[in-house]
Amino acid sequence: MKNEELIAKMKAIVQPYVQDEGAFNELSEETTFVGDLKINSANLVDIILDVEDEFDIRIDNEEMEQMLSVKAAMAIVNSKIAT
Amino acid sequence: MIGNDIVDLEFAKCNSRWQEQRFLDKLFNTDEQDFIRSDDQQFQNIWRLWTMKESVYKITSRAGGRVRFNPKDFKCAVINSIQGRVFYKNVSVSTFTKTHQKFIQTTAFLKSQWTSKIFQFSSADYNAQHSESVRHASKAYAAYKNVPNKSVTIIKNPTGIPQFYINGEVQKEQLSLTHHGHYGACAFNVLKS
Repeated sequence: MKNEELIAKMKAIVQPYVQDEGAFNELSEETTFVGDLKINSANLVDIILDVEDEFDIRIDNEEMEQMLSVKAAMAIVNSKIAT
Repeated sequence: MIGNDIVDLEFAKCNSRWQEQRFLDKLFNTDEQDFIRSDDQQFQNIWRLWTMKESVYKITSRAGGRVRFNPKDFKCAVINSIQGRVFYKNVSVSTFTKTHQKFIQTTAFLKSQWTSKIFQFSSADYNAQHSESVRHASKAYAAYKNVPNKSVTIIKNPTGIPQFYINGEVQKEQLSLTHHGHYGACAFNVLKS
């Protein structure tokens, strides 16, 4: 999957939980979920479940620990769908 | 060291996938899930344990930005409807939970002298809520210190931790702020003079 396509999908997934619209409009690979988008940590698990469903993958606990930025989420998705 | 976390229950009900087993499996260990299912308060039990984990996470991180999302490393033991303990690595932290129809709030503490205050926001905007939180916390601190409201300010240090100042001078009491949905809370140490 192309990076642009992946970012677009990630953007759609996180949108319902975003509390900083400005940061959302400027979303890039470097954007962090909690620090930049001000997503409440109670919703991090929802994002992970939404990512699992969107890409039909399963994310284990060790991978989940790192999934705090668009970049980290994309790396995990890529490693699962590249095969 | 102090940490606190609040969950707006109405907000959580529609804004989270709490009803799914996969949600539970990502956040809670087996015995925690046993507790969640131990009565007909499954929804409240989920958020009780979640605020316990989060309040202790805030103590163990005490730094700007989330560095890890590892809720299962924080193992909850419920003592009664208010008190609990959370085990993280080789540390054990006491927790105190306030359960209300509209929210659940937990304070985690290493020393038992502290106070907390819960407030309802008038605005739904994140930034407006942040300034409301700061205003409420300043007021609560001013009352405790018996100083005028306007002499108290809250400024984040370079690592993102909010600190109390009185007339520009940094104070020793540690502060923890939280908000979710329409509710916010502050908790701070109370030092013996």
